[in-house]
Amino acid sequence: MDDTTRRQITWVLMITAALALIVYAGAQRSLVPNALEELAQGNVAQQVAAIQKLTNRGKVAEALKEQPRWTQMAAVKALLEIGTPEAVQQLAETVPLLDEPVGKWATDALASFGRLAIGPLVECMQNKDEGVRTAAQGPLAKIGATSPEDGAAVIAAVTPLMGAYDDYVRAGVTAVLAPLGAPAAPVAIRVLLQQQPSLDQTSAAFTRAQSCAAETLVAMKEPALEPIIKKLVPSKRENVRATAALILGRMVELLELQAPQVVPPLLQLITDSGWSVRRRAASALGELGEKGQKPEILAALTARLQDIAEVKAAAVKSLGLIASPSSAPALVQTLVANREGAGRELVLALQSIGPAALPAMGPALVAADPEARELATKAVAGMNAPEGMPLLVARLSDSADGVRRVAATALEAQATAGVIDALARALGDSDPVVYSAVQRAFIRLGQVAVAPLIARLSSGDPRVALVVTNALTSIGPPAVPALAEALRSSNAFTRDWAAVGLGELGRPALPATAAVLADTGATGEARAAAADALGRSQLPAAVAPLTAAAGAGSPALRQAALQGLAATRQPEATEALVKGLVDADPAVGMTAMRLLLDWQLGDTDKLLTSAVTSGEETAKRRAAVALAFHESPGTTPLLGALFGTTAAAAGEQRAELASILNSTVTDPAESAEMHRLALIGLAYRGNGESVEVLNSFLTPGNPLAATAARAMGILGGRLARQSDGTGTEAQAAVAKLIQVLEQTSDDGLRLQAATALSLMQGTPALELTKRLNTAEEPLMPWIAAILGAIGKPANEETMRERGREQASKSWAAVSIYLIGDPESMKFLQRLPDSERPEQARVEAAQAVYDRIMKVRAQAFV
Amino acid sequence: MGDGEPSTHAQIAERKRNRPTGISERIRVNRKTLTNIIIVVVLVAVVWGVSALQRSARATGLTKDLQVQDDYQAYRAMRKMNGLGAAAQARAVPLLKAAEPYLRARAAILVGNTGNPRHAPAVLELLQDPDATVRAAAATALGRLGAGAAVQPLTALLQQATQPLEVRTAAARSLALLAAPEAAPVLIALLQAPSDPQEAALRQAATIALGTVKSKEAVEELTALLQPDREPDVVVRTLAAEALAHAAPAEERQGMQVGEALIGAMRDEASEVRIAAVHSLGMVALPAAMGERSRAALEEARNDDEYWVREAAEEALR
Repeated sequence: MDDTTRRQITWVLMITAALALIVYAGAQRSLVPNALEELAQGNVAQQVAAIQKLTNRGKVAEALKEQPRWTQMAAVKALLEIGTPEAVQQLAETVPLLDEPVGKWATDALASFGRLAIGPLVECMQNKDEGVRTAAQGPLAKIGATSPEDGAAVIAAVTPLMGAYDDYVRAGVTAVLAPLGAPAAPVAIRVLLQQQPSLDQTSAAFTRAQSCAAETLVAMKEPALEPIIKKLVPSKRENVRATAALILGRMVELLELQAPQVVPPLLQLITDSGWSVRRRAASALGELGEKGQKPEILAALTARLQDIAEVKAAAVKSLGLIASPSSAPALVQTLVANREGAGRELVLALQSIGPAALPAMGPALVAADPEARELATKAVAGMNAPEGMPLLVARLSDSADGVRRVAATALEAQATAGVIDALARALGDSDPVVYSAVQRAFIRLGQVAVAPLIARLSSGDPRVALVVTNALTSIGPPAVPALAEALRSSNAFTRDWAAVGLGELGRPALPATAAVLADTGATGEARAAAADALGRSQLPAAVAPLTAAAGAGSPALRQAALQGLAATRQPEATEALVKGLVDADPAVGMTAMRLLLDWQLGDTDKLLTSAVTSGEETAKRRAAVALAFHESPGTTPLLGALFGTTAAAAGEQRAELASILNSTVTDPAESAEMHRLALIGLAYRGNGESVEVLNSFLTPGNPLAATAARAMGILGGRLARQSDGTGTEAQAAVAKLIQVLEQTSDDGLRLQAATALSLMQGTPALELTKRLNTAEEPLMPWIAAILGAIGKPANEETMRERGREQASKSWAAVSIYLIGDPESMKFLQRLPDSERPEQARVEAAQAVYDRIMKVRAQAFV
Repeated sequence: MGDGEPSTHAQIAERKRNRPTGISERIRVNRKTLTNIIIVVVLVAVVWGVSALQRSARATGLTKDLQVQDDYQAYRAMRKMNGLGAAAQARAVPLLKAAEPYLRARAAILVGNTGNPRHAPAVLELLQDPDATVRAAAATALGRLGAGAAVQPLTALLQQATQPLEVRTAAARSLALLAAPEAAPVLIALLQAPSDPQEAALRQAATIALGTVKSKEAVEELTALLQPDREPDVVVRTLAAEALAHAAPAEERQGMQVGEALIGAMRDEASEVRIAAVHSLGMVALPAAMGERSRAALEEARNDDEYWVREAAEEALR
């Protein structure tokens, strides 16, 4: 055969194979549509043939998805006709895909195949689809119930699945075996009696099988009782007996009327030698609930209260579930004397018994052991019974914090008006949990609690007062009348805290508080407290009554009203405060001034400036002091803007302000406080003349020397800035301070002068560096320290000084070191060793430097 | 030749002298090809032989697995044997005479799956088996074997009220597959008996079987089964309506009866019956006189509350 022929043959074969594949693929693809067509339109034989084709390829479920009802019916009908076990399996597997009526028909029909359907249905029980499993379980149970032989066949087929890995399979086993009742019970019993895994069974499967067997017996209910009692209960093995107890306990709930049948075996098991059996039996008896209120059951459980912890706890829990009052004394005794491992259960059990247990609670509530008392209190608390309230209230005075906490927490929710007085006493408790809970109890009680709370305001204990006030403010408007009345109390503590409370309450308390303030028949203290309350409210509406009071009544009242106005932090109060400056009473005026020092709301500066420029001298001075404290970058333009004046005119007014301050300071008739405040004012509002004024205070022993020195430092710095550092006034201040520095022997005064110089920025630098050449040695550390404290502005002069005499070079280096900025450090590094600062000198200057910086950090004295 | 020049006489003569003349000469020349063909054939035969041996071995093993008492394990073995084909299934024939009833039943099913009527007589004997499951399996298998000779025994089984339901139901199902008119009287008598919910599956199977019988009596009975007063089981009425789709009414009067009965069933309370009735009305061959009436009824069905009734009506009208 030549090559050409061979090639031709090869091509023919390949093309034939390809065509065959295409035809085969086409046939496969059209299999399902063709089959569906026949199902929908064909007769019985055609439908059966179509389904058979789909069954052979396992495509029935796929084909029936979302098909019309008549196609589904035809498919089910055809599968029924085929009737083989495989057809049964296919039928069960399609049930979830069918419409509900068709699915129901198919499921009902599955049982009609009898024993032939057992194999496929057991296969379906292991399907991952829950619908398939459910479709199989019912018919399987029905087949099992048909006859003893069929039942035995179902049981034999299903039993191996008890150890299946998937819990849904095991659940299916239970669902199939339980309805079979007595015939299936021996199988489950046999599994439970098995001591170890069989040869082809893993340990895990063995455990699962036993669990499944137990569940099956539970689900079986009555038919399983006898086998359990006859076979499991008397078993020699403890774990089997324990399982029997567990199953019996689970069955109690399911058995309803037949529940008493399980009692005798459980009473037998509760005295078992094995503790796990006793525990399970004790737990099981509790499932009886109220039906367990029988003497023999209660006695059996009570006897277990002396058992080991696990059994005891189970017995306690069961006694709680049974909730017989007659078991309360035993439970209480256990709580007091033998509660280890069962404390929580004892509390719950007593709570479950309820108020009927209260008469027996006495010994536990007063036991010597605080833990017992606490548990007993918890039990009473959990009963939520009005009868228990006196017991809880009594516990508020227990010595143990824990007991009091439990009682207070319970009373927070349960307290009634009848125990208010006792609760009020607990407000003074040292434990925050207690008094907070009591506070919340009062809040919950509301209006009835107001009077007792007010009564506690006079306790004198700030903590109590705070708690009471918080409670009253939380109660809200109902507490207002009593609080307003408390303002009139003769007890200052009461008045003060009533004011706090009313202030917190705010708007609802305003009318009543204002009424007290306006009441000319009330005492001054009461009206002052009312003013305090209105101030604390911080409401705009409080301004009017306070303003009225600031203009009438005693000086003390006017002072209190002014303080109240300041406390409101409302701009509307400004006018009244400023007006207070002109009060006839000096104390009132001074109060207004003090309040205005840091008052910047509303048109404060405008009103103060107006007061400065008009009115009598005292008022002017007070206004000037207040205004001086309001120094800000915007003040000068403000002055101009306010009065529509030029900068020159503003300067005149500034000069007038300074002049007033100067005269205030120098007037010996003024008080020490005015002097001090005016001195401080000069720091911000002084002028050149003020330097001399301030200098007059820089004498040893003068109590205002420190203030004056600081003021001069600040003033000097301002004057220097105003004149770009060349002003003579600033230099005059420098000279004065240096004179003090050099001449005084008072170390304190020297320190003040040094500090003042350091506040003047670079202005004193030149003079000080000159002194490095001329000053005496003891002064050198001071000069170096001042230069260091001045900092960077002193750099230039100090470094220039480096070019002069040796002595000054050394101290200049110390100054540079103390300045300490990067430029200074670089400078020092370039110095030869011989010119570097000496350690001793550095230490000396450092000591002074530290003192200066400490004083600088302080406010005005 | 390759260069296109005409051959000389001498060259032609040379070729003639060298051409193979006898068969042995031809074979010698094509030996290589022959060898290749033989090798391929032998290889294919070996592969087929090995796989056949493997199938046979598996079938032997599965036949042993079949003999366990556990129905589930046996079912798994049966499934695998079905997958191996008719030859494997036929290995169950000897088990038709096994001592254990469960083995005989399984064997009957497997033999029925072969579809080979040759095995029918052996299976037929099992209809008299003392075990009900065996009889049910045999009844099921006979329908799949297409054994016409089984019609009478199956009909007899169906008639016997003492037989367990699963046996009678299997007999009814097989009669449907056999489409035997002789069974019609028994089927009709069964359906005319008072309805018992316990026998629901039997009555349903009988209805399906009756639907395969193309006789006047069968059609009349199916028509009567559409009445709720007569047949309370919804599934039976549905199957009766569905069976009428392939009814071949013998005469016009009967055709009218079928048509009217289906139209009446379209007002059944149960939606499944209405769906089947509408679907069948679209398929059944009715007399021309019913044409207008059935069209009107289908139009009305387009407004039914049930979705599938409306869909069936749409399809029928297309």
